[in-house]
Amino acid sequence: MKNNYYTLQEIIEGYTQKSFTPADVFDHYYNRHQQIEVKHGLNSVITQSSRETTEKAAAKQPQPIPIGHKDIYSTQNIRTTAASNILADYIPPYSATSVKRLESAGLVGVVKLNCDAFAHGATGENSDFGPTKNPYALNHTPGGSSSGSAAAVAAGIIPAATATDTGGSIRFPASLTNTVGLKPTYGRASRYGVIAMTSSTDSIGHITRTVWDSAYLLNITAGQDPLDATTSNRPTENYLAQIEQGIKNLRIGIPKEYTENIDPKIMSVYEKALTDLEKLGAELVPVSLPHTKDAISAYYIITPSEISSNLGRFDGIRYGMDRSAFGAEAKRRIMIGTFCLSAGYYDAYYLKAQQVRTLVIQDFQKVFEQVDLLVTPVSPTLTPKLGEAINDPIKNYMLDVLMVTANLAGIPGLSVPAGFVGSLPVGIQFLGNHFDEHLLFQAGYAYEQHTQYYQREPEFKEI
Amino acid sequence: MQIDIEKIAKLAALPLSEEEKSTLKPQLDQILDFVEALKSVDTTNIAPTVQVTGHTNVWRTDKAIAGLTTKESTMNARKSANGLIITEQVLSYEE
Repeated sequence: MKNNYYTLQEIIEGYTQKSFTPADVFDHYYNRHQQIEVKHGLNSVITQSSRETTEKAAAKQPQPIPIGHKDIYSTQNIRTTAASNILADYIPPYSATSVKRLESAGLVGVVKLNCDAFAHGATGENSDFGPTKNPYALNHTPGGSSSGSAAAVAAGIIPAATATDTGGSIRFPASLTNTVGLKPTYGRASRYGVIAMTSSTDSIGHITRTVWDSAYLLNITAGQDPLDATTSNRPTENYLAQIEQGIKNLRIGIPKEYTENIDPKIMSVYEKALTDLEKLGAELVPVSLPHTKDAISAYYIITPSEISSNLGRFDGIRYGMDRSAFGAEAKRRIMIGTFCLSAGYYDAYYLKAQQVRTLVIQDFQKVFEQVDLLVTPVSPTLTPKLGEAINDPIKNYMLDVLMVTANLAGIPGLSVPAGFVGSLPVGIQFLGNHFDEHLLFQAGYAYEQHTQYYQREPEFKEI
Repeated sequence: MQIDIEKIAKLAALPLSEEEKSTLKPQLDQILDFVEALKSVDTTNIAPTVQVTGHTNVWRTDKAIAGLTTKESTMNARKSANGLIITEQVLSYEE
């Protein structure tokens, strides 16, 4: 294998053409790990499976492909830490449904990927295993919480990675690392075996190099799971079937609230993207989502409240360390959540936030009567430098301001590369109505093939 | 909005050092001020959203299926013996 980077599509094609063998593929990615992860101190990986374990798993598959799993996905008999000291030596006795489905389809997990501890964060700096570096700018963050997933795919250490998005944690790091991040509709893919953060918004997705790859993986993970009662019984579809259809006459909404207080350099990239979408035949429609700015406050009540409940299971008795081992951000969220749910405050905080959530959902329902999709910027600012956002919790929270509405509403979103400011990647996101992932892929694919930004490789330098 | 750190830490079963308490208090107060913005949103007659699936009760067939073995379910416990997980004493008995 002569190139440094491959998509899943290229590997599958290579197997079909017999251009390489499984041993070639696994050797290639093992070498990339040594050359890139190790040499540049990327810190995207927490646990790497031994070659023996990997070879055994790969031998069971006719066309095995290595994949990485965000370290909140339970992997049977492989250490799963949630990037927290609490679970530093935890070995799950079972695998997440998504892990099993991917493995049955030939995608063999070879690395457990770094993230913010318990997925709490937007830069990867809340990891108890050290922060991850952005391959496009080593002194900048790759975004979070799926920091390791994004960095490892961007660096070509693995061709694809699982991830989760509760408040932007797939879309945000994907947009900062020139990769494609899918947040499916809530309930489209099973959360069973994924360490829970916010049960009403956690969304199981993945980060890939291209839109085709993203659709290919959703074909595998989507579908009802009897082990996750929140999964939808709506039949799944072949997400690749219409991917090349193009976007002629598709109505794409531009929500005005998503373009306020955005860095002008990001606005230039976004506006150029809008012109490209028009060239491709889409009809751009100005729309309004009036409760957008209330969403972040509602999110930062609902999220810690549900976190405080979900982290209650970490009692240091059945598994894990005692509760004093939680990191600072987890402690903050547990405290805020416990407060918001406590007697006397529940109505004013949690209940109120849930009412505002209804308003956010209604905004989207009205808008999706007028348009098929929305397109918005992903981040209000350029990728922060490592150390910039970590000491200011609110600054960290505000990075998600354009992300959280999709999670509150449960709608799907796809973040795709949209260009660069200097060396720093900038993405845009498409948002769709519930279960309209096929439209997201259609738009993302058309835009990606027209612009080809994904071809630009990282330089592994500080800037 | 001011948070009663001692009370909340007890409710949350979160052991905090004195240093942590003094660092956390202003951060928590700041976060609560940040979310206070919601008070001004008109939510008259708006029902709360608890979940976005639209599902109500999801059933399965009442048939016993295999779960974790005793070995699997105790393998991560800090203290275990005889297939049981050892915990701290919860109830105390007065003589």
